[in-house]
Amino acid sequence: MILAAGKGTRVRPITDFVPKPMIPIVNKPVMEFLVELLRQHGFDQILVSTSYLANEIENYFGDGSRFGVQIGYSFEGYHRDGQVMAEGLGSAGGLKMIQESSGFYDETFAVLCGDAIIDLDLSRAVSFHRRHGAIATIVLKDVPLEDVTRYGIVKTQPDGRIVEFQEKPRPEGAVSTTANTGIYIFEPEVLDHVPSGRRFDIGGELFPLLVEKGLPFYGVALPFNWIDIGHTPDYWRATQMILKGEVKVLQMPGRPLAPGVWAGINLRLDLSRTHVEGPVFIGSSTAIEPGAHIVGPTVIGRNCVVESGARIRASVVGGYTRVSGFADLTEKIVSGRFCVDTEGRNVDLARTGYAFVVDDARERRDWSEDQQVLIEFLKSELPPG
Amino acid sequence: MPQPSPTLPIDVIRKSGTTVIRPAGDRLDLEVAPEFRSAVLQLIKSGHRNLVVDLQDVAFIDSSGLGTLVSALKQLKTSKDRRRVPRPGGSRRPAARGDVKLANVQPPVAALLEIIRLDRVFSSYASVEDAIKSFTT
Repeated sequence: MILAAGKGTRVRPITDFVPKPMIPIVNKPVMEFLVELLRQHGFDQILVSTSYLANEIENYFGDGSRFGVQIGYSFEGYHRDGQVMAEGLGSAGGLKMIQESSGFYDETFAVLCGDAIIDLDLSRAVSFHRRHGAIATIVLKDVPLEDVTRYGIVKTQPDGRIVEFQEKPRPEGAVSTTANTGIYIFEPEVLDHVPSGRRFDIGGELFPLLVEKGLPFYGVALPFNWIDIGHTPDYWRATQMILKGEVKVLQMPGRPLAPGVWAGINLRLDLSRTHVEGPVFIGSSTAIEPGAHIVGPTVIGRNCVVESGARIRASVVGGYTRVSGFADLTEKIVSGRFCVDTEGRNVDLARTGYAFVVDDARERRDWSEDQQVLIEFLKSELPPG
Repeated sequence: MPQPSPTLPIDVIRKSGTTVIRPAGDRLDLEVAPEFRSAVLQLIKSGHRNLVVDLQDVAFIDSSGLGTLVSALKQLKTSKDRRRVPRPGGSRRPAARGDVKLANVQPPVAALLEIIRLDRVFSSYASVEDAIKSFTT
């Protein structure tokens, strides 16, 4: 089960057009990493709960055959006049509804949040779960004390049994810094403890209830990388880690063009006249003009135009973005007209009159007098290259 | 010495031969830029060459605001004008080329200047005093 119905408001503006599970990390949606992981560990039937921008997810993953698994969808909501109205039953309520209507969960199953990249040995988590005869097992990870407010925090006995579960505590009240990663192994019977037909949350309600009832509820800490794309800066960090090879999740998409440089097809790029310092991934149909300066870890999406003189370092450039020769992007996420820094500060460059620096590559604009003054000035002060 | 009219949304102070301009309000955008521009250009015209723009309160500059700063800088730096212009101090030495320096640049504005590489064009200082000092040393 992949939970993918969230709206992702903390990852805006990226999630204005793309649901969180579809956020591309090195040109590959976050959720695809999870689907690959599940298949690798023998989970071949995957149900995905969706609501916000559900079509984006369904159009990409289809029936799953392209990824070697079977994928089905559970749409949480309804349409009114063609608009999606989310009607969430909460993460546990959604599972209960599925179970009551079809009995889909008939053996041990895994539940993952669709907005984190993990390289976990799921098989080890499942064998821990079985060995302890657990009804539910959470995969745990230590987090810095100041981050406990973002997570469910647990207190365990030495054998892993969970004796206390706090949902998003304040640092001063936290019983530990061991966090719920949103990765669960469940027995179908756990759903017997979820009430029918009402909103019920896994972290906020089900887990405290399991503790209260004294049921075999365990946590297991395994060594793995967990990149939660909960906030915009996480997205930037995830890309950096994957490009640097710090997460052992995948082979790089595309083909190797030079050491540390991977690319798609139909590129306009002359490596002898462009400074490209890996690790860098360049998407298909992108044009990099001679004289551009690109330093990794950097991803340049598909159908981008990077003009001569542009300087890009440790950044993520989304698809269909024009980066002008005036731009100097260091540790930025830019996509079309938006520029976000690693603190999550976001500027709409087109709305604020800086479309001549970074813009949607498909946009044609006329420049105002002020913009022309700036453009002429930049051209004379900063010769490209 | 001509001063901008009091209705203009800026403060102008003279300190040690330097003119400190402080735009009022937190945005230097299309709405206020035309007035800001005419005030700044008027100052240059009347002989103020060393300008410090105090951006303490400015959280946001759009392209028209930045266009104004660039116009001012261009006028001061590319001026081939060696006529004797009355200087604010009353002396009649030839007008030297001036500069526009920035003080108290707030992080969002600094980030923007960096993206467009104007951080290499405008010197910026942590305080108005530092900016003034830089003109005299």
